[in-house]
Amino acid sequence: MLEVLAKAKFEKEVANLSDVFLKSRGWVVNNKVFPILDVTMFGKPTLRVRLECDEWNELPPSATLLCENGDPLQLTRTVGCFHEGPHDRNGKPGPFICMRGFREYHTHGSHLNEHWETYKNQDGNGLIGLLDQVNRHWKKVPGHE
Amino acid sequence: MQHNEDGYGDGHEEEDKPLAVAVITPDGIYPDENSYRRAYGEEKLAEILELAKTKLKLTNTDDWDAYHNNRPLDPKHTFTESHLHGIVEIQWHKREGGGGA
Repeated sequence: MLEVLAKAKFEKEVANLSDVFLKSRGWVVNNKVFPILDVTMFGKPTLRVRLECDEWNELPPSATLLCENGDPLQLTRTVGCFHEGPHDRNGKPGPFICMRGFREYHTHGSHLNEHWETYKNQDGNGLIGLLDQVNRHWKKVPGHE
Repeated sequence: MQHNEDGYGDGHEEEDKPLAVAVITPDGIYPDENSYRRAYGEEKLAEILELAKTKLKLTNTDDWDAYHNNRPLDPKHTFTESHLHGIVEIQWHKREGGGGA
């Protein structure tokens, strides 16, 4: 995919991260310069998600889970869509998001038959919509708020 | 945000007063970034969500969920039934996708 097209789509979507939207979700944007979208989702505990959005949206974003201070998040076990890692194919250590819409899901050995192409144009599966879904998953983990 | 219509009645109880409603989605905000829509207690949430869907050019929101302060809302209920009053900002987004280990 042409980078210029991916960048244009990225910037169009990221423009919806308005102050009103961010306040409603309790989020802060740390970086929104293509191809990186880095958002802190405040809560108990706080989650920071860094998306790499190269080839958006021919490819789903690749997510890295971080602590509020930017250190890699450590999980002692898999909870919901938050897999403790490591990923079975990309070789990256650490936890990853195993949920439809994320590169780590669609490239995981258990989900190779679920193609991003099927989901990418659904309402709510844009970059911000995917973050909304992650945020909801995170809040539904027992003990989280 | 500001109210886009004036007036809140005269002497009614809180439950009878119009509400100021915004629907905040990942695809935009209804009615817009700077204002609220007036709504009434007996209106169903689904009516407002449908207006938001149209305005924001959403085509399929069958699997979207609405929340208020992280409390799930039932669109079939009215604002009064949902215990919503005053200024109401509804978070509306696609239900979290499946997955897991």
